Amino acid sequence: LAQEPKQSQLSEKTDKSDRRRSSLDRESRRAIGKQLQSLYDEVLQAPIPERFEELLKQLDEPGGKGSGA
Amino acid sequence: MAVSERLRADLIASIPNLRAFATSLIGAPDRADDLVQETLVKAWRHIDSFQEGTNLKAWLFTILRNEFYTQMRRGSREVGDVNGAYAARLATHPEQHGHLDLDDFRKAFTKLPAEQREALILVGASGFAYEEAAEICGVAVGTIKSRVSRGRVQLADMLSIHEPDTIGPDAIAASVLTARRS
Repeated sequence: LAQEPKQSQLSEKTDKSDRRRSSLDRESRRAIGKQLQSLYDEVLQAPIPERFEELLKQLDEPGGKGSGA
Repeated sequence: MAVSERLRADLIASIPNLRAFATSLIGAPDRADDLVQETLVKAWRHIDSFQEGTNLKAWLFTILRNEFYTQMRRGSREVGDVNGAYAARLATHPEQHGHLDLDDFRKAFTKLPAEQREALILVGASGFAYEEAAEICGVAVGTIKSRVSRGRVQLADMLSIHEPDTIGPDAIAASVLTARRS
C-alpha cells in the first residue's frame, strides 16, 4: 500500500508534463481568451428564437410537455 | 408542473447561456437549439430535484451536457457537422476581421475534441470556476485544468500563436504589445 502513489503525486506528474506543453505566454493566453469570449458572446447576445416562446407555452400547460416523466 | 414564477424567470433568463454552450458543443445552430429545447423540457420535468438557491446555471449546463453525450453515444448527432455549420455562419459576420481573426479561431476551435471545447468554454467564457466546471463534467479539477491548457496549446499551434521569444512577425507584434503596455 505504501508503494502506491498518492493522488497528489499523480496529479503533480500530470501537471509537470502539461507545463512543458502549456508554456504559453500571457499574451497568447489573453488572445485566446478574448476569442473564446467573442465566440460565446456571439450566441449569448443573439435574439432568442421564437421556438422557445412556443416551447414555454407548452411547458406551462398542465399535461403538456413539461409534465410527467 | 410546480415551477415558481421566480424559477421560471430564471430558467428563461438562462436560455442565451444554454444556447451559447450548446453551440460550442454542436455548432449547427438548429441542432444546438434542439439540444437547448430538450434540456429545458428535462429541467421542467425534473424541477423538483433542483434545490432552489443553488446554482441553476450549473444544474442546467449539467443536464445539457449529459443530454449531448447521451445522444452522441446513441449516434443520433453528427458531431463532425460542427465545421460545416460554423462555416455557414461565417458569411453572416463579415465585419469581424481583427488582429486574430475570429473566423480562423472558430475553425481551429471546432477541430478540438469535445472535452477540450467544453472545458475551455465553461472556464473561459461562461464564467464557471474550475471547481464548478469539474462538477458539471463529472471529473476532477486537475482534469479540467489540463484539458484547458491542452486546448489552449492546440489552439495556439493551429493559429501559429508563438511565444514572444520566437523569431518572426509574431515576436515583433508581441514586443510592440509589451512595449505599449509599459
